[in-house]
Amino acid sequence: MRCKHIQEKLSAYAAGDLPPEEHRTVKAHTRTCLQCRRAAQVAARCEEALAMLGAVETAPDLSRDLRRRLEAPLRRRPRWASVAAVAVILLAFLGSLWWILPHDAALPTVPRPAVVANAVPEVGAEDATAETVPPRSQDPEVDQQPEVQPTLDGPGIRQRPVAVAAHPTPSQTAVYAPTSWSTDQEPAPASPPEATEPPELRRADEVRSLLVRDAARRRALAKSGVVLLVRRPVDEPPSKAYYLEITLPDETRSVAEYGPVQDVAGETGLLPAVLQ
Amino acid sequence: MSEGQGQGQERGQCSGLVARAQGGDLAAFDELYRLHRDTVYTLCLNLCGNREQAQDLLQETFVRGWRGLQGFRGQSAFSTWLHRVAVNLCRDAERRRRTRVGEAQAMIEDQPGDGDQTAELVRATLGRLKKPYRVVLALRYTLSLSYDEIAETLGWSLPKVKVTLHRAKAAFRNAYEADGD
Repeated sequence: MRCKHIQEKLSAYAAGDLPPEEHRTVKAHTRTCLQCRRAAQVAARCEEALAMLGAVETAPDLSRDLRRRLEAPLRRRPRWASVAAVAVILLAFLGSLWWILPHDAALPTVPRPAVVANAVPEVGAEDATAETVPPRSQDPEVDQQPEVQPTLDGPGIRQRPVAVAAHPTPSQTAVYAPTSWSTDQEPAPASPPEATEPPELRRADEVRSLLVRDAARRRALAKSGVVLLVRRPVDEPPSKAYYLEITLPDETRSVAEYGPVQDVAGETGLLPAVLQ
Repeated sequence: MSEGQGQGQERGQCSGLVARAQGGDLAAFDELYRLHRDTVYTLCLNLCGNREQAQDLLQETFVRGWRGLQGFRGQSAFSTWLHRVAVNLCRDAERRRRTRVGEAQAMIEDQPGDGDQTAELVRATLGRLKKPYRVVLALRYTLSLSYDEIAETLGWSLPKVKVTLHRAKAAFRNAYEADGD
């Protein structure tokens, strides 16, 4: 057996862990090999040193202290700490709901007129009821008006295609569609909107963009998603109108007008618009 | 006497006490403390290298043992279970100690020299080894555990115990010889 193999076994040899046959082999080798004999002596010294770890030390008598600790009731977390932790978690959850969910329910004292739903008409549908802006390559001279105007979805809320001028209602400030920022077509002659069933709601992820502009066509808030919240500037009168511009994946656009809003609480009321 | 017989006897001796202690009998647990305190203390001392800390760890081991006694199912010897608690506490204590800069080494080197000087030197050498090496050497040489018992105590495989112990001895040899020079 080579010295390398012998030296690998010296630790077990010193500990007496080798089988008898191997033990005899190593022992015989160390008698004739000086290098391995010295290595065996080192291993034996280490084994002797490690064996000292087995000398059991007498432990100090801690039984009195130990018994006192064992008899003492467990220190538990104060009850108020648990209650506070639950309250914090609950508040965080409710706070996140405030931002996620539509705020209709969050303003219970105010009638909710400003919910813009079904603002996105079906694209390519045979029914032209909710058809949006025709592509500019189509006949621009046509003052095409939808057969049926989109509905008022609630007090102060209207929805209509971009190419069609808005029609003031007797009770509301006259607001006209800002066609110049949605199409180059001339506005169509005014005609009173007709109530109709709202078009089928589209999924939010089918909407390419969702843009809200105020009456002066300034961007009030742009956000894609299921829920859209529009914060009315403090200095704007409550009769201000807003436009919700929705761009569909095929680049067609639709504008939903809602306003004037007169029944939103306070000057900084939120106008929730829900697009589903 | 074989290790199996010894373990069986130990189990028989402790099982009654353990059952009574699990029923809330503090006197039975006090008896278990008296039976095991020296080996647990020596194990803690060899693992942490500091007598004062070993006392704390000894007490903490039995406090944890008392509180966790309902979880002891008797699948291993009570001593194996208790040693596992002690080893885990020593590991945690070292982890906490190492967060304080330079204190770990100081704890080992400034240990009280009231014991046998050679034994203290061996503990100091042991304290400089990697943690797994220290643990397997302490279990092997302090408690004279077999490879199987070490594997059971640490939850390791048998080959891992053998390999780690082999490397631990080599590491100890190098460190111990370096201290002797």
